[in-house]
Amino acid sequence: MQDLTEDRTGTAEAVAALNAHIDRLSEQFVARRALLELVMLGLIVREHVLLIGPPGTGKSAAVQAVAGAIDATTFEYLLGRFTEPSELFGALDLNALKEGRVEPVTTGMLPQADVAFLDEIFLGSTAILNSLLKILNERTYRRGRYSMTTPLISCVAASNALPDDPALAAFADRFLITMFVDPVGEKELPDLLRTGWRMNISETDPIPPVGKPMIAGLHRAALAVDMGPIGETYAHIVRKLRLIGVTMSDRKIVKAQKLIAAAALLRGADTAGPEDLWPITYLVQDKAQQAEASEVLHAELKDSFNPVLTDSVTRATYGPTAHAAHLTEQATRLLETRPALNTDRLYEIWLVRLETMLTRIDAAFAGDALPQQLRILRASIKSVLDAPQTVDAPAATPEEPTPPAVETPPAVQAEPQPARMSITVSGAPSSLRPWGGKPPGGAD
Amino acid sequence: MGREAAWWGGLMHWRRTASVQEVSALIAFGPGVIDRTLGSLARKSALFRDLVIDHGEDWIAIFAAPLADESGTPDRILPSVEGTALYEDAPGWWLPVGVELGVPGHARAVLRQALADHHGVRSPLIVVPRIAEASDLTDQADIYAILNPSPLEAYRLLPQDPDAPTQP
Repeated sequence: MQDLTEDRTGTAEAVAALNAHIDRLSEQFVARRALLELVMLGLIVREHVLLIGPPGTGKSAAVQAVAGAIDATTFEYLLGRFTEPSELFGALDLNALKEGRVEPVTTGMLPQADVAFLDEIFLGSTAILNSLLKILNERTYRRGRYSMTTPLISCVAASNALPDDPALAAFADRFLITMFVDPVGEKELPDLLRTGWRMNISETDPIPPVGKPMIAGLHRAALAVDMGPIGETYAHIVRKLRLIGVTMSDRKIVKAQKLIAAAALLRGADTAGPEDLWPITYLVQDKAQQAEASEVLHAELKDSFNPVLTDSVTRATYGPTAHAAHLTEQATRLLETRPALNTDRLYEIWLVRLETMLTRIDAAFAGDALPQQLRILRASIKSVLDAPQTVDAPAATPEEPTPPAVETPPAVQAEPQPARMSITVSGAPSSLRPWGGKPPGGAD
Repeated sequence: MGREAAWWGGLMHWRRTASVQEVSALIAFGPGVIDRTLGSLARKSALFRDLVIDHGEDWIAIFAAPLADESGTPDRILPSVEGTALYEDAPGWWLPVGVELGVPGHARAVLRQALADHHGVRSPLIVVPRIAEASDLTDQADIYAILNPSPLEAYRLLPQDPDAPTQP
């Protein structure tokens, strides 16, 4: 029993350390938190990650940063059509050759790496991909009669696009997780520029790297997660995905259980539940189908939630589900940070934040459409806000929930809709206008 | 201002979408809405005094205010009051949460500008499409021009005295 408690404490510490690294790294890589999370997830389950997207989207830098966050030997290479196998696996050892043995010098090369990042993976020659296949599948590097066991934890590969060639597609299938990386959106551009500039001029205090034993401990703990309760639902999801034409090998379906188990582990559970099924979306190796899968699986993934892998959940699930998970995570975190003294100014700030959270929840979901977890959190927030306050400022007294956001004003709804657009332009009469102020855009 | 009619050849329309946008403003309508909303805000925390407000005769809009705690964490606050939640679809253009412009992304900026030019208004603007309950689409909308945004603290907030005027 004591061992079990110690194991749980160790796992919780490892998860907290991992979370701290993801938080720190995601500050450096705008809109790339999901990528960082999935690479971390790949490390925990000892599986490989495929990143598909245009160059210059920070794939390489983000993977390097994750590799730097763990105490591991890394190997990185940009493949081209003319890349020789020796550039990845090591040149022949001439001394051994003189003695009649064919042995490569693998020091500092891919066969000795814990984490590998291979850019433009599908440009590799058949010889390279064949050797790589054995390393990915069996953690074994073989050259002629020479064979060695490789310490590879995870290989992250990148490419501009998925290959059409069936042989290469079969190779791509060896990557359990596939993520499509798009350039940073328009709204995040200012953040991107600001963060990029700040990286040039300042350095944040480094967090001690996560040790390999810690990663190995998480791997063992993930394998111990009870998968019983979700077995039937998982099978149902696979059948549903096959119905919409998603091709998934049996190998992949079996291995994906590790992702679900790791998601449960990072959620702090030792039994997998409906909250942990979302990684299934990342098994789909087609961008349009991945989006379709998250929509088709809307009902099955509606409870998705993970406090560590927040953005991966958001990307993996259908819009409202993802939004609910996001709000759930934020509301949970906010409720947990209640200041000790309710006379403290921080307490007032906390109440105002709670009220803002209430506004956000009500804007997203009408009362009858509130997901279960969010419903509970909303009730908790409401009870805190409705309780008599003793802070100096007047107590926050929220109104009844705002009406469903999509509803238009009743006066407008009553009007018929002619075929052509009719627009009312309203402005404050000058007599009612207060003095000038900052435009709202600036205020935000 | 009076109602204006416009013909956009069916190009400009709005449609319902998932309510996943980040709410950053609210608008409320109806007779007496200004007094009601200001009265409600007066009973709330003083931290809400930085909210930016604008209003017409029978509508009032509240825009989220920035809040930085001691750790410097940037945040925005918005009270829970009666109204329709809005999000900033483009800089200076607000739409109700759960509604979007029903045109491809690359055409939106041009159409927004054409709409503003045609009606002689400039952003910041709140566009509230008139989507009937049974419909998901409309080519009609009401535009609320934000002509004079002011911080809430510029208004006299006297909740104890119901007879006190609430306009500055």
